[in-house]
Amino acid sequence: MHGQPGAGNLRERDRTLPGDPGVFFFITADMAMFAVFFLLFMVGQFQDPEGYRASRAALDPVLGLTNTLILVFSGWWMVRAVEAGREGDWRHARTRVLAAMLFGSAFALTKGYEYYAKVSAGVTLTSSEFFGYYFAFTGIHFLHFVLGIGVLAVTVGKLAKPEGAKTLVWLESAAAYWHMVDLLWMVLFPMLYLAGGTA
Amino acid sequence: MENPYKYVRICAWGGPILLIVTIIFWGILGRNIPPYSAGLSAAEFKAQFAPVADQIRVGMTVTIACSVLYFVWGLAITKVMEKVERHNNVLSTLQLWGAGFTTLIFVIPCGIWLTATFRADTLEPGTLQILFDLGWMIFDLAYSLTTLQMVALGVCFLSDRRQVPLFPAWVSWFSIWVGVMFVIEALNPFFKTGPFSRSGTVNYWLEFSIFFLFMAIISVYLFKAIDRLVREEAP
Repeated sequence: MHGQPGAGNLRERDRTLPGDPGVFFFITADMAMFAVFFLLFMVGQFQDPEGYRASRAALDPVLGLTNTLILVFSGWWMVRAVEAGREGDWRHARTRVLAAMLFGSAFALTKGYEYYAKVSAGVTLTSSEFFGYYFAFTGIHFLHFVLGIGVLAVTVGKLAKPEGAKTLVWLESAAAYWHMVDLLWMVLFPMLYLAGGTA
Repeated sequence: MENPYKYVRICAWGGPILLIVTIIFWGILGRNIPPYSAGLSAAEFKAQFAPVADQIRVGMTVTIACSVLYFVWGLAITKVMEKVERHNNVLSTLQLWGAGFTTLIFVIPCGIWLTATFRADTLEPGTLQILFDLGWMIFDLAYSLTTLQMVALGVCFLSDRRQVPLFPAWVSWFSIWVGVMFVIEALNPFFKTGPFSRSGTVNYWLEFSIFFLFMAIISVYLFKAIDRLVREEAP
């Protein structure tokens, strides 16, 4: 996220983190936790590459890619919302956050379908170590996604009655959190669906 | 002369004292660092548990008695939160109830583990193991009661309008983060081994470390906040 070039006050802002610094503490702590998850997975995969490949073959990378595109597209709307907010164009900021929410919600549909398909095929989180990690990691990520949709909904409400700088900090913080949700997925997707190959 | 913070500092000591008691009596004497793996067979579990039942009995007896300190600590936090609240006392009340219920999450599982030690030598291995499992299921899965306390605390101190807030923003965010991270305990019933099992890297080592860290960090800033309020309100 960058401010509009040429706007002096925005350049000043660019030197620091956008939004509330406390939110970045939360984001850093959260990503550190996911880093531990990724490490556990890598160790597991290193110890049992064949087992992981066999399990991975049951995943559909097209669904994983679809989810990646959904989150990236939704994130792009959020970037545009912040741009509008920085220009004081609250009306457009609000419609763009709504768009981010609407397109982002599609993630719940594809993920829900994927869980449903796995569980009906008898694949659950106790099926193998790989699927234990798959359900645990994507489940915790999904929870972050649901919290994010809630945050975006509150943001839409706040943008209806904007309070200047205070609302901009909220908008930027919400955008930072929402980007964390897509960033984590962008690591989860290649790690679970692609890396290490399939059997 | 009236002192609005009379007893508050004493209550605040409840947290650090309980933390030390928990580590020594629940953790070390109670053989919970880490707990017996859910992956053990009933016979293996009994073979390890029964010979040290007396020691665990002492650990649990003391932990139960001291559990009330969690609620006492929560009251000290609430008294400081009340100085931040503007509109109403919803958050400080939720925090206090969260702390009060967390006390029960010490008391009830410790009582169950204590029961397991009571007739450890004569109980069937399967029965003994199920008692131990029962304690852990409640202990880990009732996390939302503590999450309630942590989120209420964090949200309240984030709304502090002082130039220098009573609790730094990062402490409030840390509190909320720990509360959210506790949700991972929900994975416990699905794993007997591995990082998400009750003795695993994530669900035990990481989760309990951040919980103990929460108690330590909040206690440090609680004492600082009380000192500051006493100074500010001194006649």
